[in-house]
Amino acid sequence: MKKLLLASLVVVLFAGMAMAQPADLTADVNVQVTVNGVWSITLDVAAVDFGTLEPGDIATPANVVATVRSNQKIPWGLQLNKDRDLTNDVALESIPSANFTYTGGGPGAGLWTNGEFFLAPTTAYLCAATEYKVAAGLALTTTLNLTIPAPAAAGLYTNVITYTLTATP
Amino acid sequence: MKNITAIILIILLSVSFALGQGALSINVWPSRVDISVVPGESRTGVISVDNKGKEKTQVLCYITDVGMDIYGELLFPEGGTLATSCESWFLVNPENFFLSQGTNQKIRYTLKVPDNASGTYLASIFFHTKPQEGAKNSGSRLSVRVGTLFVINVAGTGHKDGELSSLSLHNTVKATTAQVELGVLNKGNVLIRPKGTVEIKTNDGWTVDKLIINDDNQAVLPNSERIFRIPLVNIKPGNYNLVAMVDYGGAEILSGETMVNLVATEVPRHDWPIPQSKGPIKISGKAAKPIEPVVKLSPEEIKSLYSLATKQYTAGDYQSSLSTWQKLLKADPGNTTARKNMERTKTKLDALKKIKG
Repeated sequence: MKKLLLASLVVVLFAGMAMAQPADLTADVNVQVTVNGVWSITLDVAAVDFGTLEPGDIATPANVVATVRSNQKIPWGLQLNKDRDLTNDVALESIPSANFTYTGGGPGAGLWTNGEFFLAPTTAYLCAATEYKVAAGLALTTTLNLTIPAPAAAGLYTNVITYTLTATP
Repeated sequence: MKNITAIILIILLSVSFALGQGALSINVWPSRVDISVVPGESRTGVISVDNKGKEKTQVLCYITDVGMDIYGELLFPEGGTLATSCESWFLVNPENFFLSQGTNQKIRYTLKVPDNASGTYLASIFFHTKPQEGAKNSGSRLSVRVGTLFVINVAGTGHKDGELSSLSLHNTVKATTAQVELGVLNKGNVLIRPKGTVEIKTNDGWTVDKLIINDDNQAVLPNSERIFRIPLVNIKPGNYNLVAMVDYGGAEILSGETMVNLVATEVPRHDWPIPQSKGPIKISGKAAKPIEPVVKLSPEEIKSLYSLATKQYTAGDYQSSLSTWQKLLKADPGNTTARKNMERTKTKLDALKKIKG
């Protein structure tokens, strides 16, 4: 019986001690999050197919949307280039550079330079100072315009267009 | 019933995930690396590349030099081409890899600075997707390329030196949209970011406008020249004095002035009278550059020259291409695309000369 009383007393004492803790006791919880670096370019299509056309035809313009994202505040530009003229590898003929051009558009506040595709990358879009950081993404639409020359030989004409995203020094 | 609902939900989620992705997409981090090193020092780092596109892709990694033409167009010639090249300092691994959809690759680079390095060096490590092999359609396959820019400063070895190289008017569409062109020559071995003003003054000393130079803090690379263009707005035709003051962060403020004649005309581009400096450009006591006479050619002749120069360039005949660009520009000095191409051709020629020794 004595033991039971003693045990009860100990329990009551501990309970009393616990209840006597100050009401404003606080504990800190460290919170942290890591945000990934974003420096990306996304094209909505992997190829542009102008379909089958007649010599002398003007192709329906094709749009390629390049979305640029950056969460670092840096000036950047979008450059375009081709690996070669649109070329028919069988007939060994190519479509002159002047017949295959691009024009830029979209919501950007920067500077578009429209024109032909060159072998060396050429700046198509230079971002405005307000676009140094475009974390939500800036959609830049390039419209590709093709005119088939009247004397073009029959066959398949292909090349590769590269979209380059680069920071400026 | 619960199982069916879950399956439908998973399908819907997958579809919406796929719709939110582009056909080609890569993310590279970091976008820019600024390093201060001492001669002989080594550094290592990691670049992360993510495939955020819909398909597995092959990525090629390579290093280029970073240059700039006279109007600020960025150039990425092969490593080892330019005086500011540091391509040979780098080792990167891996240089070629496949990335499945949603996966990531870490690329380790090691940078070893030579003992005799001084000033600022530039490089870009590019990550270039290989175009997808698809159906043989007529048209273009696409690829994307993202660069990490390296700006490497060798501590304690830089010196700043600059001068104004030109100050003139340049017509674009018509005289009321003419531009002031200010050339800055960086004679030092570090990047400079010149800022300043050009005042447009009447003959009796009244300032009619004050133009801000390089408001967005752009760089002029070491040992190179850059021309800044500032459009003129609402300036009436007439004779003016342009007065430039430029701070490039060096020991002195650069200054220069020249007289110009702004001509009102809307005739076709090839017939424009080019505003010429009336007297010598007074720039830091240096003599003005002579302005060459304008050669008149028809638009067809200009187009033909353009086509010829492009063909010569494509064929690798850079010397002939350069001559053709120069001939074209004498007749059509406002043709910015031709000017850019001429600068590229010069860069190619210089690179070839270096290779040939």
